[in-house]
Amino acid sequence: MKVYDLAEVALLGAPQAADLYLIRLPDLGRGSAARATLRRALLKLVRGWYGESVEILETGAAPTLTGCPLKFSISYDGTDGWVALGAQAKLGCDAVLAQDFPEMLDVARKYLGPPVAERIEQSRLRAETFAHAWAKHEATLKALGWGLAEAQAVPAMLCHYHRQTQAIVAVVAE
Amino acid sequence: MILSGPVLPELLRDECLADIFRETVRRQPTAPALEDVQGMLTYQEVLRRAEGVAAGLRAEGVGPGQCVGLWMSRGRDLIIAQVGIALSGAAWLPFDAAVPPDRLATCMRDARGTLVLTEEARAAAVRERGCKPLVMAAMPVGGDGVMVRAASSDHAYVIYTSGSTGEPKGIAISQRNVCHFIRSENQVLRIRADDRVYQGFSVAFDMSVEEVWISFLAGATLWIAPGETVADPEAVAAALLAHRLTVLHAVPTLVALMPALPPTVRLLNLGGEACPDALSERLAGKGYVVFNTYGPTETTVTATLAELRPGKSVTIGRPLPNYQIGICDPARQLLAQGASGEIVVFGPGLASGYLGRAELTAARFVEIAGQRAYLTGDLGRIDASGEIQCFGRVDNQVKLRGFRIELDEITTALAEQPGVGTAAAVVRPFAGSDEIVAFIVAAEASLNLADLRAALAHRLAVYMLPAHVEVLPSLPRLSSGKVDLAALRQRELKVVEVAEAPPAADAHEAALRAILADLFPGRRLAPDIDFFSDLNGHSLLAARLVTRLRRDPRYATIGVQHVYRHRRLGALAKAMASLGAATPGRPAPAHDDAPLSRRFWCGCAQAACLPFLVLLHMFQWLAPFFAYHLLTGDHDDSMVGAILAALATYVVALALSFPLGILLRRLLVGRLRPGNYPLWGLTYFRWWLGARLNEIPAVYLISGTPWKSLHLRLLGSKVGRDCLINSVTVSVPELLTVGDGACLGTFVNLENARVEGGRLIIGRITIGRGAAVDSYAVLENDTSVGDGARLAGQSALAEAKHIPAGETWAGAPARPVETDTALPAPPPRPGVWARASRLAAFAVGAAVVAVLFYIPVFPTFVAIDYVDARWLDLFESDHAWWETFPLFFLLAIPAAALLLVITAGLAAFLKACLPSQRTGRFSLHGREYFWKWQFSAILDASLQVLHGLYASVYAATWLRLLGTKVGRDAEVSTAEGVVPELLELGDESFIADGAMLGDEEQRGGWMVLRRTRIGHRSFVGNGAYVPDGTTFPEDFLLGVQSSSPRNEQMHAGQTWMGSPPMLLPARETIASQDPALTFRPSPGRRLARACIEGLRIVVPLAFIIAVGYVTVYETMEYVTEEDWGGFTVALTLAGLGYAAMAFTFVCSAKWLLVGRYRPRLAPMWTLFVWLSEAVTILHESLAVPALLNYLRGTPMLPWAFRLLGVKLGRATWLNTTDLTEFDCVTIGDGAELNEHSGPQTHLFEDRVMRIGLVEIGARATLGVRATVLYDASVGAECRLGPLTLVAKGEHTPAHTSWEGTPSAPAPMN
Repeated sequence: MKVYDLAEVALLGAPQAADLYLIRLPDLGRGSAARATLRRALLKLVRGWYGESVEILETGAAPTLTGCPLKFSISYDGTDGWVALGAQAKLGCDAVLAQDFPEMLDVARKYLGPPVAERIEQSRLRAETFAHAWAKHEATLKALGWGLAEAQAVPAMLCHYHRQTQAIVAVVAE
Repeated sequence: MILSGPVLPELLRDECLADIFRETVRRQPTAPALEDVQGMLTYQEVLRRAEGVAAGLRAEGVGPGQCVGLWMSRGRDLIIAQVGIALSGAAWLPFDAAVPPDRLATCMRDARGTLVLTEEARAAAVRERGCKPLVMAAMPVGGDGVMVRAASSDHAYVIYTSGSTGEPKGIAISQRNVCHFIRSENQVLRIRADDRVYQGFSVAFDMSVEEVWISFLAGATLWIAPGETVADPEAVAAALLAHRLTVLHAVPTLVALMPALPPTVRLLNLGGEACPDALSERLAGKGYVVFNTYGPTETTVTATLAELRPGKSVTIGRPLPNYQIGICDPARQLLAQGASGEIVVFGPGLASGYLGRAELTAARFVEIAGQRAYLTGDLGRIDASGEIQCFGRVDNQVKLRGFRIELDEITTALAEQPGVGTAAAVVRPFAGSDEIVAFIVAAEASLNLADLRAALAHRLAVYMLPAHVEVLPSLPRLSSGKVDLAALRQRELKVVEVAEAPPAADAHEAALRAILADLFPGRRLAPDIDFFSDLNGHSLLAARLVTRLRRDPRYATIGVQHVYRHRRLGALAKAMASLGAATPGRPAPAHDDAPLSRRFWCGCAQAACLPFLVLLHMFQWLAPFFAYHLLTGDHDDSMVGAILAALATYVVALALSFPLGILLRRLLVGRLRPGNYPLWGLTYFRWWLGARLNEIPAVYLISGTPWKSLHLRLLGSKVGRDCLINSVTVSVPELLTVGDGACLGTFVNLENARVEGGRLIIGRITIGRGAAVDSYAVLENDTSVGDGARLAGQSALAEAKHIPAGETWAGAPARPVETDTALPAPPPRPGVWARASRLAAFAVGAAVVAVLFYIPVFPTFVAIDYVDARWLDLFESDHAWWETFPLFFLLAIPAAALLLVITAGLAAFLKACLPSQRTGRFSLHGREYFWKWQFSAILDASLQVLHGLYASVYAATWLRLLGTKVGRDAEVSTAEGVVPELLELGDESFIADGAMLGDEEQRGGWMVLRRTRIGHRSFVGNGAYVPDGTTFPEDFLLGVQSSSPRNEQMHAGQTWMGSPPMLLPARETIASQDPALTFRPSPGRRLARACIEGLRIVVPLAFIIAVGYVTVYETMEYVTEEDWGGFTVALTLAGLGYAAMAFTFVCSAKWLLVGRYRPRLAPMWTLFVWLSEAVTILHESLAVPALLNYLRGTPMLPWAFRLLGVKLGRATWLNTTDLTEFDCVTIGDGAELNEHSGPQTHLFEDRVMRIGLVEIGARATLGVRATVLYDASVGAECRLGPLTLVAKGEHTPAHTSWEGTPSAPAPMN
C-alpha cells in the first residue's frame, strides 16, 4: 500500500469513505517521547482539516479521535512510527520487525495457530513470515478492539502490507 | 598486488551525461525511453521535456559547476528532472522522497546549493528551510535553444552518506567519473536497445545511476515502478512479468523475498549489500545472467563485478574495465594475493573527494604505489582464482537494518556523557540479532545506566541507540593503542543489568526477571517498572514473555491478559504467584472415523449401482437416436417420419423420467428419517442413491411451474397450494414442508442432509405459509422459515435456526434485518378451470421448449449421415468402434458447430417471437409471469447445448442476441438468473463464474421485474448475488460470494464484499499489467482466443455426438434383432465406456495442454488462460456429467481427482466436483466437502488470472457452498458452515468452527 508522509497527507485532505492513509513518521523510535511526538503531529494534521475542537481521547484502551469522523491506529517498529488513518468503522495497524527469536514457533503456535506456525516453520524466511502473520493478527485485533489471547480465532479481514527495511507494517480496515 | 580490469582506453572520453543522452536521442529518437503507469515517452519526448527543465534552470541562473537539489516522488517527472539538470550542466543532489526536510536543508547548505527541483506539495517545506523550490509542474515544456555543455570535470551528481561526526558527508561524482562508469560497466552487463529495464531504486541511492543511465546509454526502455511496487517483492515479480522486463538491478534482500524471477528477465544485477551464498545458489544457472557488484559511492557506484554461477561461492569478482583493485595493510602497503587487508580502489571512477572536507578526503583518498587510491574501509582478499572476496567493514562504519551508521558517532556521544570515561561500540549478535552493543569505562562510581540511556536517546537517532551497554573496568587494546574491537565483539556479555535494582522479592519475581533480562537486555528490572511504558514492551514481546513463562509448569495458565492487567513487574510477579492449576483447552470437535470395511462395502454397493444409473442416462439420452436411425437408412424411409418419431420418443422419455425417478426412489430408497447416521452406513447409502435418482428427471423444464410442486409432493414433500418453486435442490424431499403460497427462488439449496464429523445428519426443513426464500440461499437441516417470513438471497440458515413469522433475515450467517416493504395483498387465486388450463399451458410450454431445442440435433444427424452414406459408409461397415469413433468425432466437429449456430439462432428467434419483458409488478398467476417463465425455459433449454459459450469471447454476442445491452469488451462467465432484456452490461465489465445477475423478486403471489445495470469496468465476483433493480456504478467491485449493497450505498470505484455486504477501504490491486494483455488486446490475440474458445465449445459437443453415434452404431443390431437383454448389456457397457473415455480425454487434455498447475499470475489475453479455461470447460461439460457426477459421495471420486493432480489424503468424502486448478489443491485425510463447496484456486482480478494454493486440513468439514479462496488454508478438524468464505491468504486454525462470508468464528454451541 502507498505510504505517505505527514506533509503529503496534509495536502491530500481528510480521508473520505474508502480512503486509507498509512503515514510514516521516520526515526521516531519507541517510548513515551515517541508517543507524544506522534500524537502532537497527528493532532496538528487532523485539526488542520476539522478545526481546533479535535482531541485525542485516551480511553485506557486504544486512543480515539473526538470531534471528527476519523479513526486512527498507531504502531512503532522501534525506528519509525506508523499511523493508519481513515474513516472506516474498524481500523488497526501494527508494525513488527522481521527478526528471528528463539521461541518464535511457540509464540506462533499459541497465538496464531498451528497451521501458521507450521507455515512459519517450513518457510525459507521464517522471521519474515512470522512478522507478516503477527502484524496482520495484531492489526486485526486492534481493528476489532480485541485483546490478544491464545487460540483466538479472528475473522478474516482485508489486510494491506507495507515493508520498510526490516519492518513489516500491516493495516486492517473495514 | 594490484588486480586490473581490462584496459579499454576508448571508454575514457571527454564527455558529459548530456552528450550521452543526446547521442541516444539522435540515434533512436522514437524509441521508448520511459514507461510507467501513465504510458510511454520516447527519447525525443524525454529530451524535449528535459530541455524545458534545463531552460527553467538556466532562467534561474543555474549552470555547470552548480548543484541543484532533487526532491520528488517516484515517477517519470523525477527522471526527466534528473535529465534536465544534466542538460543544464549542473549537478543533481538527490533526496529520497521520505527524507526529513531538516536533513535536506543540512545537505543543501553543505553543498552550497539553494535551488531544489521539487513538487508543489513539498515546495513549502523547502521554502521553510531556506531553499528556493522550483516546482517541476511549472517548468517550461520545450527548450530555449541554448545548449550549455558541462566540462567532464564538472560534477554530475552529489550524494550524501552518514558521517562519523554526525553530519552527513557529500560525495561529488564528476561527469567523467559517471560517463566512464556507465560505459565501463556496460562492457560487462551488455544492456541493449531492446532491453526493458526495471527502475526501482530511490534516486538518493547511487545504484539508480546504474539503472537509469546505462539504460539511456544503450537506448533501452526504463520502466518506472510505482511507489507501492518497489517495496513489495511479489509486486516486483508480477511487474517484471506483466511488463516483460528483461533487466533487474536490485539489492539481494529484495530478490531473496521474491517468489521466482519471471522468464522475461535475462539479466539480474545485484548490489548494495552482501549477497549470501544461499541466494546465489537459488539464482544462478536459472536461464538468466546474475552479477554481483561491489563498489562504494566514492568510486562511482560499482568497482568490481562477479558473475554468479551454481556451485561457486559468492565473491565480488574482478575490477570493471579500467578499474584496479588492491589489498593493503594498515601501513598502506599493498599485500600479496591471498593476504587479507583493506580493499583499495584505483582508476577513473574515483571521486574528487568529499565536499568541503579536505581532511576527510585526504584520509580516504590516498596515494598508494604512486597512484591515487580510495581506501574503502572494507576487509577483503584476492583469492587463488584472482577474484576478490569481501568480508565486511574494517572501520567503524556499519550498515544495520538499512542504516549506514558510524559507530564513532555513538562512541563520541557515549564519551561525552557525564560519568563515562572511555567508550566503544560494536555490532555483534545480541538477543538473537545483530545489535549495537556499547562498552564503557565508568569515570564515576555513581554512573547510572538508565540515566545514560535517557541522555543518549536525546542525542542519537533511535536506530543508533545501543541495545546493550556494558561497563568494563578497562577497554581491551591492540598494541597500536587502539581499542581491540574484535575482542569486544567476541567478549561474553553480562546479562544482568549493572544498574541498581532491588533484589527479587520472591521466586516468581526472579523467574520473571530472568526472562525479561533476556528480552530486554541491559534494562533495569524492578517491581515499579512498567512493561509497556518503561520497557517499551509491546504485544509481541508480551506474547514472547508469556510463551517462555509457560514453559515453567507453575505458570502454565498465564496469558497475555495478565501482562496487560499487571503492567508493573511487581504486580505481574504477584499475579504469577496466584495462578491456579492448568485448565483443559477447548475440546476438538468429535470426528467419527469410519472403519475401512464400512467404506469399502459402501463403495462396492455404490459401484454396483453405477451401471444401472449409467444405463438410465444412456437410454434417456439415446432413445431418440435409436428411433431416428431405426427409421432411416432405407431408400423408402421418410426423413420427416423419422424426425417426428425421434421427437415423440424424446418427449416420452423426458416425461417418463419423472415417474421413473419417483418410483425408483420410493422402491429403492424408501423414506429417510431425521437422525444422525454413520458415514458410509446403510442410511448413508440410501441417501446417496436417492440423491442420484433425483437427478434422473429433467427438472429444469418444470422449475417455476405448478408441476414442480406436484413433483415434490410425489417425492414425499408436503407442499401447500399456490407455491412457486424454482430450481431448488432438496437433499431429502420427504422431510421438506412448504406452506401455501411460499416462494422459493433460483438455486436455493435445501440441504436437510449433510455430512459432518464422519456422520450423515438428516433433519427437516419447514417453509411457512407465504414465506419467501430468495435465490442462492442455503438452508441446513432442522431449520424453519416462519409464516410470511423471508430469507434473503445469498443467505445461509444454519442447522437448528428458525426465522420467526414475518421477519426478514439476510446474510451468511442469516441475521434479522429490517423487514422489507410489504407487497400488496396477494393477487386473487384463479378458479379451478383457470388453474387447470394454466397447468396444461406450462406442460405444453415445457414440451414445446424441449422439442424445439431437440430439433437442431436433426440437421446434425442429417449432415453426418449424408457424409457417412456418401463417402465413409461407417454404419454399414464392419469397423470396430475404436476405428469409427475418431471419424465420427471429426465429422461431429463441424456438425456440432452447426448445432450451436442453429440452437443460438432458434433461441434468438423464439425470443423475438415472445412478448417483450416489461418492468413492473405482476401476478404470479398472470400472463406476464407465464411468458417470463417461458423465456427462462427457452434460455435454460438452449444452455443445455450452449453452456460452453459462457466464459468465452462469444458470450457477449450471445447475450446481445437475446436482447441484453452489452458494452464493449465485456466479459461474461456463467451468469445465472439473467432476464436478458432487462440487463445492461457496461464497457469492460466482468461477470465472474456463477454470478446471479438480475434475479427477480418473487414473493407474496407477485413477481417484480426491474432493470439491472452493471457499470463500465465493474466486476461481479464468482457466485455473487445481484438482485434485479441493482445499478452498479462505474469501476465498482462486488467480491466473491457476496450480495449486492443497496443502490444508494454504492459509489464509483468502491469495493464491497460479504453477505451482508460491507465496504472495503481499498481493493487489492495487481501490479499494473500490460493493457495489451488485459483490456486492449491486439486483433491477433482476439483471433487466437476466438479460435481456441471456438474449439473448446465445439469439442465436448462433438465428443458427445460421436459417442452417441458409435453407441447407436454398435448396439443397433440388438434393437433390430429385438435382443433386449443384449441391448441392455451393450448400452450399459457403452455408457461405462463413454464415462471412462470422457474422463481419460479430459485427463489427457489437462496434462497435455496445461501440465501441472502452479501458483501464478496470467493476464487474461494469454494462451495459458485460454488453455486453462478450456480444460475447466472440458472437465465441467464432459468429465463431470459422464462420470464424476455419479461418483459424488463415493470413495471412487477422490481417485479420479488424484489422476487430475489433486493431492488427496485417505478416506476423504467429496460431494462436489467444483475443483479447477487441480494441482493447487491439497485435501487432508478424512476431510468432508459438502455440495458445491470447495477450493476456489483462481480468480480473475483486474483481468489477470491469479492462481494460488488451497489446503484443506485433515477431517475438516466444508458446509454447503463453503468456499476457500486461493492462498488460504483450513486447519485440521475445522468446520466451515454453509456459505462460508475463507478469504485469500487466510487460514482457519485447527479445531475451530467458522461461518459466514467473509468467515468469522462461529459462536460456541
